[in-house]
Amino acid sequence: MARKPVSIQRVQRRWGAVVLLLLLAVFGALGARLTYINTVLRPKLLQQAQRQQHGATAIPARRGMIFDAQGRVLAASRQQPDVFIDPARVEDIDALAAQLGPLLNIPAAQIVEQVRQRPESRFIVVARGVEAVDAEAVEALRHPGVGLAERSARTYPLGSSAVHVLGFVGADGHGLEGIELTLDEHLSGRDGRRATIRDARRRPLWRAEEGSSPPVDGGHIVLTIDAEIQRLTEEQLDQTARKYSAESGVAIVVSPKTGAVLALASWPEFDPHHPQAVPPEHRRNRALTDPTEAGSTFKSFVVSGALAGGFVSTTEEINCHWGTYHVGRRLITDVHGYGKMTVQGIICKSSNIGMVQIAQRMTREALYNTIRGFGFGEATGIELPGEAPGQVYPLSKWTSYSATSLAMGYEVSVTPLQLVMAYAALANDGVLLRPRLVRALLGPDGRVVQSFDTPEVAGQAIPREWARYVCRELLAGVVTPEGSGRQAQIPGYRVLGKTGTAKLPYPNHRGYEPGAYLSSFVGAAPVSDPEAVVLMMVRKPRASEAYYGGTVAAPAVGEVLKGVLAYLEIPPDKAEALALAK
Amino acid sequence: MSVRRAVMLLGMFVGVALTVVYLRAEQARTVARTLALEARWVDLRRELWTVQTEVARLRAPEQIHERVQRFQAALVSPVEAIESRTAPHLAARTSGR
Repeated sequence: MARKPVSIQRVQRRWGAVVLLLLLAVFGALGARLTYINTVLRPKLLQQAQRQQHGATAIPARRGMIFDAQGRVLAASRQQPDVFIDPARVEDIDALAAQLGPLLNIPAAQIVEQVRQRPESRFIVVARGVEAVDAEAVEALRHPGVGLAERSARTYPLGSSAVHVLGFVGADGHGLEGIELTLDEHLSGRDGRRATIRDARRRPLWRAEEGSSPPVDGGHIVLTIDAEIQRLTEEQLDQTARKYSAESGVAIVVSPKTGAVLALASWPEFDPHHPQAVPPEHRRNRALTDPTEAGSTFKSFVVSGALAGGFVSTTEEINCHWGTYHVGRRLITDVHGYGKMTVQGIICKSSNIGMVQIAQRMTREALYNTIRGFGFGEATGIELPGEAPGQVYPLSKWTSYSATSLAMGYEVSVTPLQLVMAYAALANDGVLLRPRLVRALLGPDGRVVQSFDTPEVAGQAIPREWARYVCRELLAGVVTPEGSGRQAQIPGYRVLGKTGTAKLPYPNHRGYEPGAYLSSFVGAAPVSDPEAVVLMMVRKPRASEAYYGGTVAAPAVGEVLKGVLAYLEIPPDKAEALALAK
Repeated sequence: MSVRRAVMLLGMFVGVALTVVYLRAEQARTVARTLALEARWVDLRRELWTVQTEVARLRAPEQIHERVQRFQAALVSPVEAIESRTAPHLAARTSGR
């Protein structure tokens, strides 16, 4: 049977249908794939695209600066980049290390070792905080596997000067001690972010509108500290502590009229760039954290209260029993024996026997209120962390010997800061001020945000006339050729002051350690109108050399006062000038 | 539509297209310049901070005293100045006692 011939049109139609079906199938498959990509794969692909195309660069904010009262920079931040290696983009690590090592002053073998220890990591820091010139040299290499990561580094241009005031920051750039800690919130800035869209080679191509933010720099701080007075004070403290092989020492300079702390030094000091290199006790600000029995420097307050309360008169003579006196079973002695003396003589010679008799005349309440009135027993509120309040026992805990002990500066613990502020109150007509360390807070643009120029009065410790009498007649007599503080005299000025030599207790507070003393001297000048009060306390000077406050601390306080008065351009006392004219 | 009109229309479209391309390229260049300027700003901030720190170090009183000593500069400190003014008085007082 012969087959019927197939017409050409029919063949074309059939093949046309096949091609159409194939095309439909292809487009259907493409459509299905497109739908799959846009639905199921969409989140994953979007995320991938985001990662590939979008990039962000951090714009570092600057932590605020700390200035002294004259505008000198005490602490500042700058960028010191870290150098890192991305091993995935390094073909020959030995060759790279050989290039990089000399630039960073690191052995090439050390770099190789670091990279081989963590081959899977994409970010291996080989040098931290490199200088700008080294960073430029690393950049000039133009090696794809080497990069610079910006890092903010805190620097203290004055080195260890004022370190116990300033404190230091941790690895995260936040304050860990001192003003850096107390005002961390004000100093801290907020890093900015620059979001970009990048090309295939990760070069910034476009600026992304979303995700970009400018950096917000931290605010600045102006302190009351004067770097020159601080240097002078630290120099004298360091010389004294070394000369007498002391365990530690503290020196403070304050302005009695404003309560401004002009210098605050603690010895031994340390490098704020490497605080971990010293034991924690070196980092402690002993002026605030170490209350101690003040010894004879405390006598000024007891005698002030006695005079103001009418328990003793200025002309009355008190028998000092030639150096030995019994209170109950307790023997009180003086270094040298004296007969009858007025209050002036008792303070001038620092007689324990005279002071004990004065304190015994006072009522317990009057003595307690006098001590509290000078601010002892409570923290001063200075803007530094860790301040101890000291200890003044409540009347309910007093024994029959308490007045005797308090008269000589025992049975009460005070911080050096409390002590110097109490003397500042005597020099300021009896007005006790709160110590100030911060003069102003500035914004990042340098404008004043908050000013603390007004002195803050804590109270009237004693009446004005008695404060003046104590300063001008009693304490001025201490710094004369006959007084215990004669070594603090300075040419052209009358100086007031008080020596102190306190026994130090054993660490377990069971008795006093033989040969261990706290030698102190607090002085102020000019007597007619005191502009600066200086306290120096030297702990455990080598007793074989000297340990009296008048020998150890007074000369150094005199030197500090001499420098401060000259620096502040304070004219000499009128009385001294008249003597000069004669 | 005449051929002339068609050519004009085509020319206009080409002109608009070229303008769009030019503006787009200019925008890309501006963005690139902005990014470069921002990067430069960050670099300048860094340099400024470094210089400020260096100036602060040079202004430190300790450093100044060291330099004065090193260069043996004939500067008189305020302390020495006041001592020189009051020295005769001190001498008189000391000898008088």
